[in-house]
Amino acid sequence: MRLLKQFRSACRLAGSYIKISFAAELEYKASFLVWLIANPLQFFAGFLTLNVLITSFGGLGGWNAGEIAFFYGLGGLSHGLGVILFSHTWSIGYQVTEGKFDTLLLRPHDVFFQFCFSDFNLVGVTDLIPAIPVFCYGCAAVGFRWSPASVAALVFVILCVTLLRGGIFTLIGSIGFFAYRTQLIVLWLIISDKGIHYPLSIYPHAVQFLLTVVLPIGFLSFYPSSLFLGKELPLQLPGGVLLWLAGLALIFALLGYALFRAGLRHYDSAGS
Amino acid sequence: MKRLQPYLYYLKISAQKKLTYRFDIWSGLFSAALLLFIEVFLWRSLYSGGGTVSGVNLSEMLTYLIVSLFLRYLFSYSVDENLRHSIIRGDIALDFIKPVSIYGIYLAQDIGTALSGLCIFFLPLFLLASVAIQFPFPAAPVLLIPFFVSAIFGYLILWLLGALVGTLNFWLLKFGNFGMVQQILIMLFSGAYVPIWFFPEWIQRILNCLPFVYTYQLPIGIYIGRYGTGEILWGLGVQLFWVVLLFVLFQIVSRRAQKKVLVQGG
Repeated sequence: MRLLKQFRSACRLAGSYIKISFAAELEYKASFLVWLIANPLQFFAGFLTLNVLITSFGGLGGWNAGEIAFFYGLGGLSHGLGVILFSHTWSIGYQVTEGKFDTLLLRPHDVFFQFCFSDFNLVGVTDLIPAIPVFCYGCAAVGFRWSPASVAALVFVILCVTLLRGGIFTLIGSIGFFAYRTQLIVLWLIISDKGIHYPLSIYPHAVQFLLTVVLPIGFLSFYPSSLFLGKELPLQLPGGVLLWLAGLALIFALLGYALFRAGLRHYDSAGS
Repeated sequence: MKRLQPYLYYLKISAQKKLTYRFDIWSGLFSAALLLFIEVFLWRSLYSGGGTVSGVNLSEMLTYLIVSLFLRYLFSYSVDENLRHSIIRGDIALDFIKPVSIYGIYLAQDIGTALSGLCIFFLPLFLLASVAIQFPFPAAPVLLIPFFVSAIFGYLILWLLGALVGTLNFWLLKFGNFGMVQQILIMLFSGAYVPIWFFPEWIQRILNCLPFVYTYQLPIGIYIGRYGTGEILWGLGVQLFWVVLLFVLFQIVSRRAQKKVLVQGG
């Protein structure tokens, strides 16, 4: 009963935070409008380029235009959600040197919870919006069968990949507690962006192994899309794609949270 | 020469600044190398059936990729960002009363950044690419002359576009960083990553009327021998036209902007 009460209070607080973030962002309507143009433009530009290449070469790593649209759209959905929920982890280093965690530490609520919701990124919605039509187009092009089971699997995959992205963002961002300034997040964004552009099948076997086991790039969209489209996997995953995805999402989320907590313990505010 | 001295000083400082953040250099090099190899894998996969597509084979495409990398470092400019920040902070009013041209300073800074970028990033990447991918020989040694001329024109087109967009911040500051829209358009329509000749005919016709293809694609196309003498001369002529047009536009817009600063200053 107490747990339920705590959960309700957390939801109410998260709702208030989100409302405040919306109001703050919409104060700068013109700036938001530019994001609303720029982010979809970038997403569609990537999609157009892929289509140009597929038309010229007759496919990409054994995937046709419809399959690539499904793959690219699915990757875009979790990318948008990841940016909305976790993009403030990118600037942990700056927030440490500015002493921003002082305020969060003083409030009577879990710091990570406050950190996740107090800066809800509305601009991230502009990353999510263009992924929806591309994914719908991909579903239509590959003849995706909509059923309660397939929808449940789709929701599960999107949630897991968003959690996986959040875990990796938090893990990399939390290094900022110790190193203050790193370019690692930029590096990850570049690599993960390519991970939803090109299917894993374009790489040699050694690179495919690396992008499956060491850096879970393949799970951002390639493996889940292969599962839905019934495509052959370049590497056998014992237990299946969904089990691997859920396991990796959980592992990275826990690792991210643990490093965030360790970083908070190391945090000693800014200046004197 | 004496009049150039302050600009050369800014150029030197800007080049040195790039060397200050060592971790940035290593992570920048690592991510650039990674990106290069991802693109190489992409083109190798696309050309796995062999032959030529749109008149280009794999070896020419890999040369295109390496030369494009050279241009990406050469073409690094931040005049639009510098102007935006200067306007936001209000430093622009002080900049205008300096006994040097602020646009001259921004150009010198950008050239400094480009030169240090070429030395710090491109040279090691070039060595790596030459050993691990292939040495990017030009189609003929004589083509190096029009290539460099075209690359300089390409740089001027991009820099003037950046300066124009940056100057527009005097009126459109509330729109935030709208310069990124221009950067996305350049990356997509300049042939920096994917040559425009893979695009449908009708898109190519539209793009040939815009300045973007004359920044990356023309010089690289010259380098890999895609164009004949007539096409090269025509291309250089069109580049010169864009440089003059953008310069005139930039002059008009920047003069109006200066008046606006005076009005704001009271």
